[in-house]
Amino acid sequence: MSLSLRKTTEWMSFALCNHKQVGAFFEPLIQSYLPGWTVNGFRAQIKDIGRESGSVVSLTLRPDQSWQGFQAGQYINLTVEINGAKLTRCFSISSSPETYRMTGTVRLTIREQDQGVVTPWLATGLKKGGYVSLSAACGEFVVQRNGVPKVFIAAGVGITPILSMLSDLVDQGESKPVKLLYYGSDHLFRSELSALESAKSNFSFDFLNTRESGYFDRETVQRLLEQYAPEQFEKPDYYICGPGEMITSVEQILKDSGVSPERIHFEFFGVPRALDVQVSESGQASRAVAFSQTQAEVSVEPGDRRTLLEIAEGAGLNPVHGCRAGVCHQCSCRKLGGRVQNILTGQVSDGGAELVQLCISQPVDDVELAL
Amino acid sequence: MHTLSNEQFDQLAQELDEVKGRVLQRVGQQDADYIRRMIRIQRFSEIFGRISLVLGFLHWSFWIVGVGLLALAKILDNMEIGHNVLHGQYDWMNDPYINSNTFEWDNVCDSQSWKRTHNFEHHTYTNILGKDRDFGYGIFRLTNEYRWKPKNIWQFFSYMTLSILFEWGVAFHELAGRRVFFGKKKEGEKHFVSDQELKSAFYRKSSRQVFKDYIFFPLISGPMFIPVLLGNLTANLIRNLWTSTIIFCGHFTEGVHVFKEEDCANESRGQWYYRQMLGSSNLQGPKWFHILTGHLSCQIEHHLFPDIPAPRYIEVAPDVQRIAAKYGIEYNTGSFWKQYGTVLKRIIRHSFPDRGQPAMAS
Repeated sequence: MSLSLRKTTEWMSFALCNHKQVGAFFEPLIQSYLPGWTVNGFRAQIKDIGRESGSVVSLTLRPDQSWQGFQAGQYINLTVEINGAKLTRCFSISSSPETYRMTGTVRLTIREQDQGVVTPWLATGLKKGGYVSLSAACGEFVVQRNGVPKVFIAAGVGITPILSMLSDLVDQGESKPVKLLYYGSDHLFRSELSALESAKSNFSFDFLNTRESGYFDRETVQRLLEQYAPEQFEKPDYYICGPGEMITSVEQILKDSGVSPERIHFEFFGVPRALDVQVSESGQASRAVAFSQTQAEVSVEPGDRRTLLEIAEGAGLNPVHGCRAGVCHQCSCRKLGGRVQNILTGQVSDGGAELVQLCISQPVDDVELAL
Repeated sequence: MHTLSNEQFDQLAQELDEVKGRVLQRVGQQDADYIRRMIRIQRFSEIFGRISLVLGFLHWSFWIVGVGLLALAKILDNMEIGHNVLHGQYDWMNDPYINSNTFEWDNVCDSQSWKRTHNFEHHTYTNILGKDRDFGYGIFRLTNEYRWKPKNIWQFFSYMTLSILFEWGVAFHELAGRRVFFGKKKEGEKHFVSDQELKSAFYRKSSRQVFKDYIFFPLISGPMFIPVLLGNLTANLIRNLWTSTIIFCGHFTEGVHVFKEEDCANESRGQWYYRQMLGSSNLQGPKWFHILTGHLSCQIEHHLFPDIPAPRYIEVAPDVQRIAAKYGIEYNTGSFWKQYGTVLKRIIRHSFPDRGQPAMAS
C-alpha cells in the first residue's frame, strides 16, 4: 500500500514538475532565501574554522535539525562547492556525541592533502556562517559496548575518530582500562587528550614520536602492547586508525601475538594511495580497473594506452556510448574512486567520486567505475 | 569537400582546440551561478505563469500574462537549460539535477531518448546525408542531392504543421519513430536500446506531459478549466513555434552545406571541425535573444564545442570567426529575419523539381 502510494506520488511529481520530488523543483528558489534548506541530504552551517597544526584544520558545523546524530567513530560525506563544482569527501567526526547533544555542533578534523583539490581549499574557501551539504553519519568503526578493556592505536590524523570515541567513553563513565597508543610526528589534540586522561584514572595515553621510536617497528609495538595488555587483564579490543600500511602492519603484529581477528577493528584513513604519480607516468605502472556493477576487474599493463571505454569493451562490457571522441557525453559514467586522465586536455582528476567520459579517460591509478 | 590540405586541417584543429582550451580554463563559478539563475527565472516564470492563468477570471490581461510567462518558462527550460544541460555542458558541476544523465525537461520528448539521438547522430554526423536524420527530418527535401518526390510539393505546409506540433515531431523523430513504430529498419544497424524501451519511454513521457497541461492544472482550476487548458495549449504552441524556427535557422539556411557519406569516411579532427562550421549558421541579436535561443544563435560555435557552457559561445565567436576567415571557410551569420527568410526560401525552392536535373541524384 505504502509502496504504491509512494509510486503514485513520484509519478505525479514527475508529471507535474519533472522531478521525483516536488521539493526538488522548488529548491533553487527556496535556497536563495533559505540556504540551509534542502530536499535531499542535509545542510549544515559553518560555525567555526580553526587550525590544529600546520596542515590540519578543524571545521565546526551545525547540521540542520533533521540530521539524525552519530555514533563516536563515524564519518560523514561533506559536499562543498569549489569554483562551481560540487565535490564530496569523507571526513571523520572528532567531537563527541555528547557535544552534539549539548551544542548541536560536530567538529571535523581534516589533514590538508598536498595535491588535493578539496582539503587545502577548505580553510580559505569556506566562510563562517556559510553552508555546506552533508550526509547522515556512516561507518562501522564504532566502539563496541561489551565491557572489555580497550586499546586504541592511532597514527597522525587517524586520531580523529578515536578522539571522538575516547570522549564518548569518558562521557559514558567507562570503568574498564582504556589505553591509547598515538604515533605521530606532531600530535594533535594534546590538551584535549590530557584532559581526558586526567579525568579518568583508568585511562592512560602514550604519545609516540615516530622520529624517535621508529615507524611501526615490530619490536617496539610488541613491547608496548605487552605492557598495555598484560596477562592479568582481560583480553582487550583493539581499535586502529591511520594510514593503510600502518593498519596492515599493526593488524599482522596483533594476529602474530595471538589476538583473535574479531577483537581487531580498524578504519583506513586518508588517501588510500600515494598521490605522487606524475601525469607522464600514467601508463607506466600496472593499474586495476574495477567495474562495481558487473563485479569485473581488469588489470591494465604498463604502456597500455586504452581509454576506459576500450578497457570496458575489452572486458566484455558494452557501455552505452556514442561518438567515442568526447563530444556526445553518452558514455558519461560515475567513477567511484581513483584518478583518470582526460586525453583531450591532459587533465588528471583527483581520487573522489565524479562523472567521467569513458571514451576520453585513461586510468592513472586503480579506478573503480559504476558499470 | 576537401579544399584545405591535410596540414591545414591539422592546423585548423589545433587552433580551434586552443580556443576551446582557453575558454575551458575560465569555466567555473560564473557558469554555475549563471545556469542556476536561469533555473530560478524558469521556476519563477512557471509558477507565476500558472497562477496568473487562473487569475484570468479577474481580468483577461492576467490570462495573457500567464500565457507569456508559461511560454517563457517552457522556452527557457527547453533551450537555455535543457538543451545545454543534456549536452553535458554542466556535468562538471556534479549537481544531482543539473546533469545530462538525470535532467528531464518540460517537453513530450523523453530527454534521454533525445540525448541519445541528438548528441550522437546529429552532432557526430552533422549534415551528412543519409547519416544525420536531422537534415530535413526525413520529411523535407532541402537539397538537390535528394530526388524530388511529389509529396515535396506541399512541404511548406508540412513545415508549418511540424512547427505547430514541434515537440511531438521531435519526440517521434528522436526515438526513430519510423523504425520503432513502423518497422522500417536498415540492415546492419546496432542499437543500445530496444524498440520496446524506446516506445515505453515515449508513452511514459508524453502521457505525463498531457496529464500535466491538459488534465491536472485545468482540473484544479475548477471553473477556469477551459481558459487554463487553452492557456497551456497556447504556451506550448508558442514554445513549439519558437524552438522550431530557431532550430531551422541553425541548419537549413541558404548557405549551409551538406556532405556525402563517402566524403566523410576517416575524416580527421580538422575535417570534422570544418564540416561543423559549414553545416551550421548563426543568428545575430541582443543578449535576451541569445538566451531565448539557448545560444543556438551561436550554432557554429555550438557545433564546434557542443559541451562548453553555452553563454561562452558569445565569447569564443570572434576567435572562431577570425580562424574561419584565415582558412577561407564560410562563416554563415546574419540577422534573424535575414536568415529565417533564406530558410523559408530553401523549403519552398526544393518543393519543386530542379530544372534540368536528372531524377536521380548523382
